[in-house]
Amino acid sequence: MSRKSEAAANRRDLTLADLLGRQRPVAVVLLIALAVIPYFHSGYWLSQLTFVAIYAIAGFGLQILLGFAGQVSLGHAAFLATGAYICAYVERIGFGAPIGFAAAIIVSAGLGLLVALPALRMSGLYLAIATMSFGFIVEEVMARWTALTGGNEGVVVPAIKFNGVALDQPWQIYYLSWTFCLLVLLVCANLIRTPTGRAMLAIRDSEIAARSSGIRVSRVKGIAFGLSAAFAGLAGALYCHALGFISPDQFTIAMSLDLLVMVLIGGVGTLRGVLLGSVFLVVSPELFQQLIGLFTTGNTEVAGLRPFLFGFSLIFILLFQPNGVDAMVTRSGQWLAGLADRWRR
Amino acid sequence: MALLEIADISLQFGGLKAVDGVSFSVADNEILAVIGPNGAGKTTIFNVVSRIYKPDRGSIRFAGKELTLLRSDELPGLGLARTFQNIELFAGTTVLSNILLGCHVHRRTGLLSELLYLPSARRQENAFREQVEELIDFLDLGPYRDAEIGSLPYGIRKTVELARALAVRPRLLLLDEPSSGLNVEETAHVGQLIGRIRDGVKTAVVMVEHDMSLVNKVSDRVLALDAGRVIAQGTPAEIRNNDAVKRAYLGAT
Amino acid sequence: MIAFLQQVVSGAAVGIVYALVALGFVMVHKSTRVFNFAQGELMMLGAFCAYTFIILFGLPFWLGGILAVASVALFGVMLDRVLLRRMVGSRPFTIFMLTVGIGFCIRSIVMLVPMWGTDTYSLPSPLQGRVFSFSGLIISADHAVILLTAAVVTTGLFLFFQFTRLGLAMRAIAQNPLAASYLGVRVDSLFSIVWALSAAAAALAGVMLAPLSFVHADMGQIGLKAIPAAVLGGFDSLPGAIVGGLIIGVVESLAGFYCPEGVKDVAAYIVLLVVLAVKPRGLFGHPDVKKV
Repeated sequence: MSRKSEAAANRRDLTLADLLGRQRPVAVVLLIALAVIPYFHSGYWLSQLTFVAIYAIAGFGLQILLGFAGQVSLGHAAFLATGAYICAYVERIGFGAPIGFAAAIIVSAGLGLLVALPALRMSGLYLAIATMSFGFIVEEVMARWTALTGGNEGVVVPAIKFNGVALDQPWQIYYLSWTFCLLVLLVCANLIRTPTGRAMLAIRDSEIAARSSGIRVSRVKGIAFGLSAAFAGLAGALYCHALGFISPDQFTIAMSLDLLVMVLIGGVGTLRGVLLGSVFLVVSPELFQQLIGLFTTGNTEVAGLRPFLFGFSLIFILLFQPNGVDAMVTRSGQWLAGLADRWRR
Repeated sequence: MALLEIADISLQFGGLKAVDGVSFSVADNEILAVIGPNGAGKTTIFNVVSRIYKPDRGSIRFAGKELTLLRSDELPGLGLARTFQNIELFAGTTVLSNILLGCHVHRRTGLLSELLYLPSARRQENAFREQVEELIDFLDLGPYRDAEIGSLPYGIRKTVELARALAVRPRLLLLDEPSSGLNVEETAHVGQLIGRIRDGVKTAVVMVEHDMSLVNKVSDRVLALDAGRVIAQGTPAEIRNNDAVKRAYLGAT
Repeated sequence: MIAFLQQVVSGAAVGIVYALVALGFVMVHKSTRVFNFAQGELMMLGAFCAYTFIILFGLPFWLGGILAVASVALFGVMLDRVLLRRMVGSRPFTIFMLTVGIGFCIRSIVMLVPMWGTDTYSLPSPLQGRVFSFSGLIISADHAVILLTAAVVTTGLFLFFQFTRLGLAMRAIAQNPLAASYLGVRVDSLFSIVWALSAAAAALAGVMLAPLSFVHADMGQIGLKAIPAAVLGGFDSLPGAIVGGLIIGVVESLAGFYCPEGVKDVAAYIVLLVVLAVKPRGLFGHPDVKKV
């Protein structure tokens, strides 16, 4: 860039094009691919991609809380559960999907704000343990509150009804999930380039300096918890429709840990990392299973492979690539860009 | 009326009287240096004024408001900003982001307009970027704009913290040891900067300092503390020749 | 009244097991500032090792138990030297996630070992079925032995930490490892000793719990209950961990008896949230004050 245009660029805000940078062509290709996949493939991989979108939405929520605001949440599955059960319940008693989804988001967000109240005074280790406890308690409540949730037996989720039309085809849920996912991504990108998002980063790095710069820490933490829970609630609403059936044993600490694994392996503090982490979370266990199946005879469904894969990957990333797969992709991109520049000259 | 009026501030930590009945005032547009041996209570007073500590008694009036009734995050809105002795920057983001955070107090947008990036949010971002660029030019931070804080040398980090404080557009700037850790040239540069800040944006400056040459060159008045008490106030020349000050620094002669 | 006391006693027995695991948490945190999420898995590993030595190899209970504790202690040292040592200086959350990963790996390896897998095994203790009776109060011999053993071990560990030079050194390295090493403290060896002791405590808890709760790969969840016990005491207090464990155990037992179904499973966490809401750093914790 010429010096004059560079100077001008510094004096204005970050557009989406700026945020994408040199990834713009890649992003366009991926978007087109996402849009046309249902025409070529339905069934297993379509549903896997749907879950990539759904987990990514929850992951964006967790990233806001953990990666931006620096608040550890070990019980995030509780918000997903809330969204899933509220949506299923509202639709079971006769309302349409828009009301169901709205209820899921609002109730989850409310729960998030409720959790924020005591959480404001806690930090680090104690906050992690408190949110973990919260997760266990919600899990038990879901199992016992049979009127709302059907208890341990679980509940069948009605198909999405929009204006009287039932949207129960896998490709419809796929498009719905990815549309929401990209919208959430956009909102998060907006958050990070405006004062509230920056304030979250400030609180993460130094609460004292944040206060001295005029940031109302309680308010911003509350927003982080609320938004985070709202997105998880939305993910829950999509999740219950994608599966068609939900039960309390899906929303355990195992799911909370899965979400953390997704954010850690993807890259803490990054938005692209959430998408990468979600792909890892959904796709890699199956790939790993098939890889192991090549070497072993007999049953391919071996319990213990998934936790092993996650545990090993987590340890590997934390020891050698603590900034996650996102940083690895950035470095590869820079290397490729360097090659491209040299080739062009 | 003075810009900042400290009246009879006292603060005790356990059995230790960190600050004991300190009173002084700061006028608009003046540069006041606060000196004293280690442990005299200088940074403690800063922390009391910026509401990190609550004083046991006394009052602090700034621009007509009683600060002891306010929280520390309400002060930038009144026009009071500070730097810290050990540099409290936001270590996980860039220089640009740090300085942009100083603009937070001028925020007029609500959460919804930010999440949707409405035109009002966009206009505000552009306005903030303009202001921050001016500060970056003023402090020669151009080459470091996109650098991560962790990679910066100490002197640059101090400058970034100063830029963040200036982004608040304060009427009063509290600088805690602006020259500590800097060499002779950097210290002279800081002295020039402080003068230009006072002349250019008409900001009063209170600074805790140990470097007497900087104090003598730049300050309008000097406040000397020892063991939590004020032992002298006056022009740099008066303080230089003050017996009580000499005793505090050098011991009884 | 008798029923109430009955519940208290059996609750105390379980509680002292929680206390053992909690002691392990606190020991490691006091010395290294690490929150070891895999502590429950170490307990589970201890139970499986005991099962292997006692049932599969046919060794007597006491010998199998000691070997199990020793094996897991060694495993703890290995974890420290191979993995945790590399993370010195990282942020606490990062190290915590590393222990989450370690927990995943331990659990998955247990599930993948052919002799172990995902089944549930019973590991009867030699005192199975025998009871003591004190004026109407029935205490099973298992519970009595657990109470006695765990009481001895926890008191011993507490005295060790509080009054020996080694224990003092361990507290020093938590505050400032660099300064401690300048003063001649062998920080590396101390870290390993702490991990060995912590893993041993967890394994002992697993061995004692196994006859009561059976041996299975998800036992680690019980270990998670020790976290409220540790936090009740403030996560840096050894006696606090013991008191916390007993409180949690008794509360759980009473909740199982007097409260509707399901409350027992989360009683520990409810107590924890109530305590943290009032005292955000535990009953005996102190705030971290940063000087600016």
